[in-house]
Amino acid sequence: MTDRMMEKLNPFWKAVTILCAGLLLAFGYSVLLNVLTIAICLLLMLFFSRAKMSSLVKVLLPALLAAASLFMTGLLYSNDAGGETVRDFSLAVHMVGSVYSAVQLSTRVLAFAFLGMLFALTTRSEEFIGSLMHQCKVKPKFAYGILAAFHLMPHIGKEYQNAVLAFRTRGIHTGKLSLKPVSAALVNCIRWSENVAMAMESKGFDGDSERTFYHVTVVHWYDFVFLGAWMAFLVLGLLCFPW
Amino acid sequence: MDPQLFLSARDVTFRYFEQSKRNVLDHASLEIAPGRVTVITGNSGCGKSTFAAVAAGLYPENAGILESGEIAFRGRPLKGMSFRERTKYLSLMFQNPDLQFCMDTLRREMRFCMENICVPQPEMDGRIALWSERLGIDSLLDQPLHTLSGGEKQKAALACLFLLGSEGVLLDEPFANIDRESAREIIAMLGRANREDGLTVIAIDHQLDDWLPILDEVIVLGEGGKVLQRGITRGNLPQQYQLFVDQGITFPKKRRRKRPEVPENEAAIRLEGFSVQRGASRKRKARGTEPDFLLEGVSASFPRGQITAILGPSGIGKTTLFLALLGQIPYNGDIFLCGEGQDRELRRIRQKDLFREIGIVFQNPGNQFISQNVLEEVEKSIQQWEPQASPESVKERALAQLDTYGLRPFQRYSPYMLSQGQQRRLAVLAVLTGGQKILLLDEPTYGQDYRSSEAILEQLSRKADEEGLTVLLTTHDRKLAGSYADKIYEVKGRALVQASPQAILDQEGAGLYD
Repeated sequence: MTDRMMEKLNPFWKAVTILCAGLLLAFGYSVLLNVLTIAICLLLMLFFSRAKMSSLVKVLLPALLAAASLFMTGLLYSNDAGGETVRDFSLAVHMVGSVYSAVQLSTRVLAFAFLGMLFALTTRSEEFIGSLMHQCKVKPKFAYGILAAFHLMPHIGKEYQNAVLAFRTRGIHTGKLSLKPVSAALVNCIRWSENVAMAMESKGFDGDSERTFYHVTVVHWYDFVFLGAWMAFLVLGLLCFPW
Repeated sequence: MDPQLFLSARDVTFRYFEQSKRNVLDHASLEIAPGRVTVITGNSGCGKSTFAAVAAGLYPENAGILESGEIAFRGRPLKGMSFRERTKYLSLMFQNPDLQFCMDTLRREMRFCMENICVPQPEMDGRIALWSERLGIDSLLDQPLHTLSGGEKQKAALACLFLLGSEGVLLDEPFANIDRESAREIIAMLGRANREDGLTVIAIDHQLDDWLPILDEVIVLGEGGKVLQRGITRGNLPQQYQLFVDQGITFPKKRRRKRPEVPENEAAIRLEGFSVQRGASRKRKARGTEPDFLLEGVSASFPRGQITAILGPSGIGKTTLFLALLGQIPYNGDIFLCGEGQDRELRRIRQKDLFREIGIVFQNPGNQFISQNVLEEVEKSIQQWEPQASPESVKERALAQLDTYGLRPFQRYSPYMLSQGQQRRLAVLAVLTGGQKILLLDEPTYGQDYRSSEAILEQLSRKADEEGLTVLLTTHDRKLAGSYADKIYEVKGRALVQASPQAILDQEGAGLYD
């Protein structure tokens, strides 16, 4: 599958762009700006990336829940309701002001969620880590440490399942929130990380010294266009729609 | 230090803890010549693995205290060498195939290795292609590593070692967790590299049989990592029989049938039209895809009070069968627990009740420790089944049990501090002290020396004969299965095929050193 625009962007600069965008968005109150941000993110994900629809929906569901709950909060506990907490729902319905602030709050949450998704769903973890090394000068020791831990993830879940089963078969009751299997799984994970570290060292991994790279992430002109476009859009948006 | 020697270790004293009275390596010295295949053996816990880690410079860097000693490769002291420089001389393969990789696919792992030793980028793809072709592992390159079988993982690890181009490789019980066929293939690959490229091979292993075709020398280590005997070759091996027996190490020789042939008892567990899918878990069900069956339409019975062994390479459904027997994964067909006049289908039994009838020892014993020290581990098991027993009697019995398994000196250790072999023994012991009438053991003799394997199997036999314990074990050690099992099933294709224990032993004996 060929990469589209979003995947071709340098992961580190993409992260910087998204972080700055989030920061700027935090100063805005405008529903329109929030909605526009959401729309742009959605368009970029749908037509300019290989983001999977299924994972988009998966992330979106909890975000929608958060947005809905903030909507209700805004509706019922708004300042516009004369400083009093409204407990009678029928009253609240008529208060346009509180509806607006509710929409403000909920679109704001969604806008942040979409910005996050725009990064997460269009970036491969290896490339991001590589980019941290090449563009951000993170030491290989940390970068590969993170990667190794990341690749142990499938084992950790399995390990926990095994621990739960082991406790049960030995007649020891473990509730859903019991810490016993967690600590057993954790001990194993720590032991693993030691083993993996030794395996890496025995393969000549030094952490600090010089190394070659198979794949070097590079920065292109369009990375800065992407950054500039987002900044321009948000700054203009903040100036044009202050409310 | 002699530059003619590949590895020389002098007067090495090492222990894991400052306060510990016991030195794991006690003034141990060892010299290994280049271009040879050397197998180091010795009983469980004699310090073989520790020696490997110290020789490779992984200890004391990562754990433990090196009291004295000097290690050199080709006359150059290990101390002060960077990891990259060390790989020029030596790279390692470890016991646990899961814990050797930091990337998600073999191709990426191979790139990682080459980056470490500063191979120029344009050469990388060529080298990957060369080695994957030579080892015949093209198909593994882009599969997620965690989906490979143990044997495939060790082949992948071997590819990385070859890629690093070290003068020698050190393998620390590399086959403890993989099937026999893969082990033989890997040994053949090593033999070829030794012949063609002069690779120095140092292997630590309990089982010598498979190494015999390529080995130049066997070294037997004793307590404290001291060399008891070296210069053992294929030719003079028969004269060393007594030494092997004294040290409790498997002598590579045809084994005798240990259990008398008796008629088969009535079934304790019966499978009827049993099928189970690959990767079946309680949550996930394959959607739209063809079901990928590991076992299909299997009918089998496991006799009460006897030992049934299930043979076959790893990754073909032995562990999955056990999970099904514990009601942990969905299956088609029926599993009946027989007895008390009626057969009960497994799905109708509450999980809690099921676990009072069936116990299990997992492949990775580290999964199942429930307490902080070795003694407590056994005590808890006894208490679980006899809550009314007095603490003194529980302790006494637990200590006696630990004694029979040679674990008493470690009673205050955390279970995780034991060696792999000791951990497995403890896991077996802890479950055996429970009161379940049916025991499932997933590869109970991995990484064990001959004496420990025998001890475990002897005790299982006794429990079966005296207390009517039903034992169901998976193993890839065919000789062991042939010697101890009353009934043997082999996993072939998707079926369980019954085989006679004597026939398995006869097959194994053929063509071996005898």
